[in-house]
Amino acid sequence: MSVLKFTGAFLLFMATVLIGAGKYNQMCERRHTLESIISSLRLMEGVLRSSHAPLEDCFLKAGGFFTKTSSFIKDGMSPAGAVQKTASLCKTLSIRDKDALDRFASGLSAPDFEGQLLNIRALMDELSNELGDTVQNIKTKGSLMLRGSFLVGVAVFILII
Amino acid sequence: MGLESVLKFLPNEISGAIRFFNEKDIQEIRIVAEGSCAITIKGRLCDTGIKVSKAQLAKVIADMCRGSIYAVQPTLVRGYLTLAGGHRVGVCGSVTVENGNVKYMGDISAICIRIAREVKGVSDKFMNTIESGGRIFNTLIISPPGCGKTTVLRDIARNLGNRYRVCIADERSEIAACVGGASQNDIGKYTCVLDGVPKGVGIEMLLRTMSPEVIITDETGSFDEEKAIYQVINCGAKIITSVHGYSEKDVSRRKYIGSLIENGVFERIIVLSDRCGPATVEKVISDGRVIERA
Repeated sequence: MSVLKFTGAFLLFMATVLIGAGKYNQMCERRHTLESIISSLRLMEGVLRSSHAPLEDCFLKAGGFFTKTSSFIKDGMSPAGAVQKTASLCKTLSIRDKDALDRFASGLSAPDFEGQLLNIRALMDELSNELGDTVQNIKTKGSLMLRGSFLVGVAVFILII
Repeated sequence: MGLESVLKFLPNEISGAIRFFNEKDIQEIRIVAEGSCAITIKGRLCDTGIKVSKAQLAKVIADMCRGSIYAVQPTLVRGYLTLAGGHRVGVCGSVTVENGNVKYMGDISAICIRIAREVKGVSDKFMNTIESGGRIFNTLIISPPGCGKTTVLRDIARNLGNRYRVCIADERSEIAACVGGASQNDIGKYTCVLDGVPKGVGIEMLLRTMSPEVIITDETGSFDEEKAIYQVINCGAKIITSVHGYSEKDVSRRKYIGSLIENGVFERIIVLSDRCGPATVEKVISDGRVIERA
């Protein structure tokens, strides 16, 4: 009986720790995705400035997050639709990030070069702010989650034992 | 890069109707939003009776621009865009003007797709006129629209480009039809193409950098181009170019090209028509004398 009790308590401890670690990991993954999008946008801005290339080529050269976007356009999707689909497939982004990408997608129909650059800049600014918040959250809430889940797990373990 | 490279952009209804015609006879496809779609066959306009909505035309344009209208805006403000294969799409729409210059073209309401064709050997019949005894003559090709000027220039480039340093200033990407920097047509082994550049500027750039023996360019007529052609002559290179017109008299009345003809810049003038099919030679003038008449 005591072995069963011990095993159950241990499993609950592990589950609590894993939930905390999972949440922390989710925050870190979001940070990585945001960093990747921002660096791709920087590249895209450079490509656009230097070559005035069509969006499909810009996304392809920007790479990272937008590699899929480029292939969706190649398959016949509109650039706006392709960005929205790429965003929807990305599990690590928050609803606010996806809203920002949606706005960026609608801005892609800008008929002029300056409009395209402004659209990229606007998304970069928005995502940079989100990235700042995420980094802050990882520092505060993230470590709290890790420690908290560990302590809750220990508490549950002791209570059951 | 035949007609199919154009048809893929058009609504199925239109492309299906166009496929009923002989591909070789189709010269133009004209689509008017909320109007109809017509095809020019052997110079005659044939209505397909297919109505095209504004949204359909917008989709056609978006597909042609690969969803990036800003990328083609520099040519769009000049009223056209070029498709892979060298097909030129003339465009009508709402224009925004800033400081007297066209800044944007939007709300496109009509397009006219001119089908480009590569006809190898079309210039063979007058190559002896353009080049003789290892010497190339400054040549002007005069022809009404749709009679094969560009096709002839492309073939001249192919003929000369395997033996001479030929350069093309291809402002509207019609001669070489470059896509991603690579020519879609056979323009000769050694032919260099400066793509998308205004002809006057392009000719000067080629002279400075590529030491050309021959420069080929299409549809000359502005002051800048006249100035550039004089530079070609002064540098000892040769110019082969074309102009819209029906006869040398008709063209001589024009300000800039007329002055070039008057000053004897062109050693050979070839007048084309479509009387017996595209690129029918009507007249060849050598140093002011008619040496061949149809």
